[in-house]
Amino acid sequence: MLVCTKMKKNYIYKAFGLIFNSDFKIPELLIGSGNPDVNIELGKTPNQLQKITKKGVKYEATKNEFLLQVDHIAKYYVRDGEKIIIQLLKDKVDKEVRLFLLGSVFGSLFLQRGLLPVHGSSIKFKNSATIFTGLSGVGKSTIAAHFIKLSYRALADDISVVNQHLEVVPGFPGLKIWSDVLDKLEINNQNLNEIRPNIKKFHVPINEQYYSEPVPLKNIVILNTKNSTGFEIEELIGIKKFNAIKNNTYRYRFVQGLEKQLAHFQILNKLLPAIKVYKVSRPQAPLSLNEFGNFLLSNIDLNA
Amino acid sequence: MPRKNIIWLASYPKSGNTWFRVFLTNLLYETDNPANINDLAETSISSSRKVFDDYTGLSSSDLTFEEIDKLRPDVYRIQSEESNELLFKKAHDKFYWVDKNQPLFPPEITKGAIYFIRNPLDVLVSFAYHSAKPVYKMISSINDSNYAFCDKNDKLQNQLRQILGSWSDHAVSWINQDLIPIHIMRYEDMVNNTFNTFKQVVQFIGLEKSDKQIKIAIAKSSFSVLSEQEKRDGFREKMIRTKSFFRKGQIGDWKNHLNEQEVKKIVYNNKEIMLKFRYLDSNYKPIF
Repeated sequence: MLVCTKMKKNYIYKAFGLIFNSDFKIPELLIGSGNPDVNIELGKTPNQLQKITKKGVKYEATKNEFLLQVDHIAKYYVRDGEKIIIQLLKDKVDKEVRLFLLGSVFGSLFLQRGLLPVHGSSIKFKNSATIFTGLSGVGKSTIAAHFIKLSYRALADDISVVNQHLEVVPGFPGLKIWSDVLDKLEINNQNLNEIRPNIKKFHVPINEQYYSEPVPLKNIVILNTKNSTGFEIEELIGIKKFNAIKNNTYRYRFVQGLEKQLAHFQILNKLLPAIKVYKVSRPQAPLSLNEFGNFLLSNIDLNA
Repeated sequence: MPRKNIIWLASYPKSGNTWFRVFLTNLLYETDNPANINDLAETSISSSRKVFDDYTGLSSSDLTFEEIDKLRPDVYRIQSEESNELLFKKAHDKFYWVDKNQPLFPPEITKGAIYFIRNPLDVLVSFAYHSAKPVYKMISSINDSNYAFCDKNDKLQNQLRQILGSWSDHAVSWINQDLIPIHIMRYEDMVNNTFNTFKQVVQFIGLEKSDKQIKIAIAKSSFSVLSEQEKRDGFREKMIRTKSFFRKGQIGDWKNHLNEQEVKKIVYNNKEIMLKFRYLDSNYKPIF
């Protein structure tokens, strides 16, 4: 009897120090090789999880599972830090499906694996990495893009993952930048892709200025705005230092749902003595990126 | 069964909302020293981007304004579900429906709303100063039925979009809805008849506080206390181009700043609500 099996095509990528085996193309990621750590499949996700430990508006978590729904786009199911199942709510995989995969879904995957995802962008200065973190809209990607323009190399945008060796592992070679910031950086957006229709935030590829090896983490800079002129810097120590990183952990509420508080606490405890954490405040507006970049370079030992 | 444990502190800007939040903090915590204006109690603004991102598990910066609006009621539902205490949430949004089934502020988790209202002529002067914008521009904003905060789609703003509408639209949206019990506080009454006005709102909230406790909280929230604190430590809710947040707080200060034409433009567009709240007499002349 002749059995005809259709060969399932798959794609191997390397991102955040992990090998991904995917059912579909993820052009944002770099091609990789080797045994996969994580499988990404199109399929049917559970409708809901059992024994939920944390619930959000659009997600549910248990000790080892995570389920996220993005209306009209997809449902994403992440299990044991090894498997991602995507159930499409639209006709095909496109940049919108991938946007949420590379964001919240990857965030939950990293937490399941006991990694530390920090909400921010990371730049390799001389032999070490610095993560710029802080609230949304504070200018994390903007300052990263500024340093990239000055010929420094980037490791990650939006989610910077710290591994057990206290290194920042490279994510993928792209930034997401809003239209007004592109203007400020004098980058023409004509040939850039919007992250989604009707949102004036663009994918900016940074191929040559992406650094693809892990780099020891040296500094975390918590960006902040203030309503007075001039810049201010404070080195955080003790409980303030601990809380600053905890609060800027990507999707910290997932940590509780995935019952990863202990793993999270342990990696923070290991990390904190090895790095410096600064709170840097800059005026709300107007902001001169050159002045701000120079302030950071001259007040923090970035090039250590 | 959802519990009704949210109180919305709703207002058009510059109408006494912050003053009330300071009073509330002083009333609830009863610390020896007046409450720190940079550390106000449980009154996170309902348009907080961080709260939205935390509770939805999504980045609001990856969503459209309409998508965000549809998810906001569920953010408040989860906050309500997770809280054993009364939650006070400041809001500058008008009251509106995010889709045909639900308003932005879900009635089933709402204990009530306090609506702060102030003479729009004084709002205009204060708002222009606060935003460091010329009066003529602020007049357009106050009369603009499409007015909104953080509604630019080419950049990421620090809060979620808030639709305000014109000064009158805003007031009408809250006052005419009948899904949420509402208590109206006139700024002018907060200034002229402070104790009674604050006592009534404490009763509306259902807090068991004595007259003495209310009086102490009022004293610890006086304009001079707030202004002194701001001079000494700054106030993080101030805009960068403004000298101070707590400017004068006076009733009728518009007379020192507005010309006849400017007054007319506000009165013409807002006369019904101004009349209803006794900001105009029957000849449409300003009272305060």
